[in-house]
Amino acid sequence: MRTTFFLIIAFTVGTIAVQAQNVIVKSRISIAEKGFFPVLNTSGNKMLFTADGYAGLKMIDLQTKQITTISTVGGAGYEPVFAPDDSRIYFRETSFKNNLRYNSVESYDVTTKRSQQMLAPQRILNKIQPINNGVIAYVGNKMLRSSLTKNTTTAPLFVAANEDLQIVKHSNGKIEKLNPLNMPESRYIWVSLSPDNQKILFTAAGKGTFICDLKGKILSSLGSINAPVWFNNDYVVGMEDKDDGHRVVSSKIVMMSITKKTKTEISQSQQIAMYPTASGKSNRIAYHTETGEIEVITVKMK
Amino acid sequence: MKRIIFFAFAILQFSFLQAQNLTGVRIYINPGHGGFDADDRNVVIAPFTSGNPNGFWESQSNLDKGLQLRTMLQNTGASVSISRTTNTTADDLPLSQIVTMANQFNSDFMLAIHSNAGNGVASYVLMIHYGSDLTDTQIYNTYNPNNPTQLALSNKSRDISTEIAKNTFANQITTWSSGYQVRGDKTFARTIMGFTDGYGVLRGLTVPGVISEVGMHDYIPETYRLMNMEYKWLEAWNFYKSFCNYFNGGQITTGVIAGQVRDSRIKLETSYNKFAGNDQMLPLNGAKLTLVETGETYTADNLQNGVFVFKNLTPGVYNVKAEKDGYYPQTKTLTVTAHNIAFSNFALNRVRSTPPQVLSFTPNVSLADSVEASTSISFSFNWDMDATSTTQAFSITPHTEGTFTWEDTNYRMRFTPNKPLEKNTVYTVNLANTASHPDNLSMLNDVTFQFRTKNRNRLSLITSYPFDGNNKVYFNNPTFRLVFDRKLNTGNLQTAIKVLDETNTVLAKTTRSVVNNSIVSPYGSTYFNLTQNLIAGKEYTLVVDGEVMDEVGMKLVEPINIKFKASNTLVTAQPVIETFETPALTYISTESLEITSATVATNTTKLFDFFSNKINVLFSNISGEALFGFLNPLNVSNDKVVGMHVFGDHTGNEVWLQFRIPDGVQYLKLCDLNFYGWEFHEVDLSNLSIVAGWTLTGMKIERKNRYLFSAVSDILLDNMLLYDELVLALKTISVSKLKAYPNPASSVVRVDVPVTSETLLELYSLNGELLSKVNNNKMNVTAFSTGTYILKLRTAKDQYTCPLIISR
Repeated sequence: MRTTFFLIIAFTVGTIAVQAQNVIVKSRISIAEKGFFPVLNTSGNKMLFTADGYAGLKMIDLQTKQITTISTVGGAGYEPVFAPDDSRIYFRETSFKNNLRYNSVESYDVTTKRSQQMLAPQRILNKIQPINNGVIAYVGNKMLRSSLTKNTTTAPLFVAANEDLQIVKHSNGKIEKLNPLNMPESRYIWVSLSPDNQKILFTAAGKGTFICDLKGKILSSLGSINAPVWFNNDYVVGMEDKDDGHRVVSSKIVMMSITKKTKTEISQSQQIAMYPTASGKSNRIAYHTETGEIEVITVKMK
Repeated sequence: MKRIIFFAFAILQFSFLQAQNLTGVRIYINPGHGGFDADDRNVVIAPFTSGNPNGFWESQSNLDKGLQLRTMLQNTGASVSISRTTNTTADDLPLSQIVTMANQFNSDFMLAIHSNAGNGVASYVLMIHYGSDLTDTQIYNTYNPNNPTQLALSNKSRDISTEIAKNTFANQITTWSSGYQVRGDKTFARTIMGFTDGYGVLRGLTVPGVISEVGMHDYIPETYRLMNMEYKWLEAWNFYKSFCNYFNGGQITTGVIAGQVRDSRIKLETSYNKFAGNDQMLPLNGAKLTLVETGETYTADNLQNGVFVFKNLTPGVYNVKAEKDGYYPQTKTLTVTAHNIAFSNFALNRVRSTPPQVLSFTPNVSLADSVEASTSISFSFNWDMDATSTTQAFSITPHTEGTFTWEDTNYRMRFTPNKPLEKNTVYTVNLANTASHPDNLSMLNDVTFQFRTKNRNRLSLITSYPFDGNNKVYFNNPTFRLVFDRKLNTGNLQTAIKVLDETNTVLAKTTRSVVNNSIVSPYGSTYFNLTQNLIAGKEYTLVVDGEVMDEVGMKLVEPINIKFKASNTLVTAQPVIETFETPALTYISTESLEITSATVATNTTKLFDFFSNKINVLFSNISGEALFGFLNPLNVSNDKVVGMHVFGDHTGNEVWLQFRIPDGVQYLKLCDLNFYGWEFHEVDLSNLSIVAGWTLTGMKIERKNRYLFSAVSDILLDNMLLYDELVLALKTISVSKLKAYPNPASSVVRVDVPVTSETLLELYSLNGELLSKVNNNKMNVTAFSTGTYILKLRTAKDQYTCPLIISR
C-alpha cells in the first residue's frame, strides 16, 4: 500500500447556487494525485479512479488518505465496482487479439491485494454488477454469473445498457428490453437502477435524460444532463457539458431533485467538471475536472 | 473469343481470393455534427447560395460517407453503430454522448469522419488519432507516453490510422498539396490548435480511435468533388478496405475504376484557387463513360468535378470509353484487380471543325483618334488557338519588341510592348492567316488594322523634393514629395519609389505618412516620410523606378536617381535680427498683383522658440506677386548677408527680399520654393548697389508658371540673421582645392583635375538648383545667363565647390 499526499484544499461551508435551497455544499477536498472517472463506494469512504483512457485503477481511502494501485492494465478504470462489503474490487482488463478487443473481469482482494480472473476475455462485456462473492454481467444477450464460492442465491434485479445501446432488464431469469421513448434506433446510455430498485435512470442520446419505472413508463424528464448517477432515491447528479465540436468548453456538476426538478450547482464556476459519482449514504459527490483534478464534495441536505 | 478469355481470367482471379469477412468486428462511426446550421460548415459554391441545404455542407458530406461505409461493413458481417443517420440540428450530440456510445457499443475502433479546411489553398490527408506523436515526450494531463497502457492505445490508434491514410491518399482523382499526416491528437492539438489535452471526441475512449480528415472541403475543386456521391463512396470504400486489411478481413474480391473527365486544353476560368494539373482544366459536366465489356454507363454530374466511378467490378481487363458532344471520344484500357481502385483521368480533345476567326481586336479606333502609347494589342478568337502558330503570325510595324500572353484559355492573345510605343505614330498590326487552332485549321484571311498613338509616351516627373543635388535637406523627418504629370497607378509605389542610404540600404517609409495622388488633376503625386531621421552630412539617393506608371499604364521607363545630402538646417552662430515670434510682416495689397488673399500669422510649426510666421497667399492668376512689409524695417549695408530659415511649400514660386533707399528699391531673391520643409537661405547684399542707407523693408512672393498644380503659397519663416559672410554654399567651398578657369567664363569652363569615370562636374544656381551635369572636366555654359553660379566637382573620394561667374 502506498501512501500519497492527500491535500485538503478547502473546507467550504455555505450554500452554492441557487435554485435548490435544500442542498448545501459542506466541504470540498481535492486529491493531489491526478485522476479521472472517480467511483465512490456505497458508504462513501473509498473511491476508485483511473487515468484518461481508463488506463489502470487506483483506490483512495478517504479516511486514511492512502492510495492503493489496484491495477495498471488497460480498461481497468472503465466502470469498476466495489463488492457490497468493499472487500473486493471488480474491474476489466482489455486485451487485443487479431486487433479485436476483448474484456475480461478481474477481482482484486483488498485484504490480500491479489487479483484473479472472474470472467474470461469476452468480445462483448456490458455492465458488471457485484453480488455476494462474485459478479453478474450482461454479455452478448445473456447474463453471466461468476462467483468465488458456490452461490445459489437468486441474481438480483439487473438493469443496464447493452452493446446495441438498448436498455436491458434481467429479473427472475428473464431478460427484457425496454424502449421507454420508442426510439426507432435505440441509443440509450448511462442506464442505472435507483437504490431502491424501483426506477431506472437513463439518457437517450440527443433526447435528454429521463427516469422511468421498471416497465419503461416515463416518470420524469430531467432535461439535458449527461453522465447522470443516482445520489439517493430522490436526487440524481449529472453534468451539464457544452462543447464546440472540438473539445468541451464548459461543464458543471449539478444535483437535481427528481420530483421538484430543482438544481444545485456542485462544482466551482471556474471548473470544467465532469463525470460525477455519488454516495447518498455519506452525502458525498466526486468528479474530475478537465485537467484531472478530482474533487470530493460533501453536501448537507436541509 | 476475347470475351471468353476475359471471363476465364476473372474466374481465375476469384478462385485465389479469400472473400472479405468482417463478422464480429465492431466499428463505431461518428460522422461529425449534424444539421445545416452556422457551425456545420457550408462552403458556398455556384450555383448554390449561402445556406442552401442542397449546396455543400460538411455535415452532409460526412454523413454520406458514414452511411455508405456502414452499408459496406454490414454487408460483410461487421457490426456497426453510427452516431447519426440524419442531418438535423437534433443530431448535434454532445461529445460526451458520442464517446460513451462508442464505448458502450463495445467497438473495436471509433472512426470520426470529417474533412478539413485549409483556407482554400491546401488539401491533404490528416489522421488525428488518440495519443501522441512518436517523437513527443510531453506528459499531458490526460496522456503520459511513459504509461504503457496509454501508449498501447495510442499505437493501436496510429496503426489503423496509418492504414486509412495510405489508402485514402492513393486517390488519384484529387490533387493533394502535400503528403498524408498521421498525428497524435495530444501533440497535434497542442502544437497546432493550442489545446492542452487533445480532442474531445477521443477523450474518454476505451477503444482506439481517429478523427479522419481526408482532404479540405474549402479547396473549391474538392468541394465540387465532395458533391458527388460516388466520390464520397470512394472514400468510404477506402475506409472499408483499411478495415479489411487491419482486421484481417480478407481481400475485397472486386475492384473499382474511377477517374475524372476534363478538357485537354480549356482551362476552368474561375477565380478560386486551383492547384497545377487536372484541377485547372475544364471538367466535362455530363460526359458519358461506358464500360465497354459490360455496357455499364456512368454520366458525370453537372457540378464541375468530372468524376466517374464504376463499382464492384470483377477483376479483369476493361475498356472505358469517354464521350461528350463536341469532343473526340477516347477509350482507355484498364486492368482491374481485386481490392484496388484503377484510376484513370481522361483529357478529351474538342472537335474544332471550322477555321479560326478573329472576333475582335484592340485597339480598335480610327486613325483620327489616338490611343495611349502604353496600349497593349489583343485578338479574341472563336476558338482556342495554337500559341506557336498564332504568335508567329503576328507582326507590328514599326517593329516593336514585346511579350505574348494568353487569356481565357487561349481564346485571347495579348501582345504587350516592352516599352511604351512611339509618340504620335501610326502602327500597323497584322495577323497572318497562318494562325491556327489545335485541329490544324488556319484562318482564311489575314487580319490587319492600324492605330495612332497619342503624343505622350512617358510618365514625367515634374518636380521632386529633394531635387537632384540638393545638399541641405533638413535631416529631421523630411517629407519626400514627387509630382508627376499624371495621376499615378499606386500599385507599386511602395517599392518603386524608395530612399537609399550610402550603403544602398532601403530606408523604410512610415506607412501612415504615405499620401498618394492628393494633387489636383491631371497631376499625380506621392508624399511620404521615413521611419527614421536622416543623418546630417550623409548622402542619400531617392530612387524612382522606371516601372512607376500612371493610371493608364504609361511608365516612367527610364529610372531616376535623385542624389541629395542631409544637413542640419539650423544656423545659430550669427546675430538674429528677427525671431518671428510675433507677426513681423504685413500684407501690402496696393503693391501686390493678382492676389485673392494674403495673410500673415504666427504658427507653432517652428525651428526656434515658440512660433514662426506663416505667410499664406492665394493667387488669382497664374502669375502674380504678393508684397509684405516688415513692421520693423531693418537697416542693412551691402557688405552684409541676410539669412533666413524658410519652410518651403514646393510650389516653385520665388521669395524675394525688398530693400529700399530713399530714392530707390531693389529686390534680391532669397530662394526658389522648390523645397518642402525647413531650409536655410541667404542673400549676399553685395548685389545691392554700392550706396549707403539700405533698409530691408519687405518680402515678396512671386508666382512662377512652373507648376500649375497650386494657386496657394504657404510658407513659414523663422529666425532671420544678419552677418558678414555667407555661411552656406560659398562658405563651404574649398577654393584653394578647386580652380575653374576661365572665371568669369563665357562659353566653356574647365577644372584642373584628370577625367575619370567618376568625375562629375555640376553647375548649380545660387539657390541650389542643379542646372547642368557632365562626366568631364569641362562644361559648356553658353546656355546660362550672366550671373553668379556654383560649380561643384564630385570625385570618387571627395567633392569641391567654387563660385563661377558667367559673363558675356
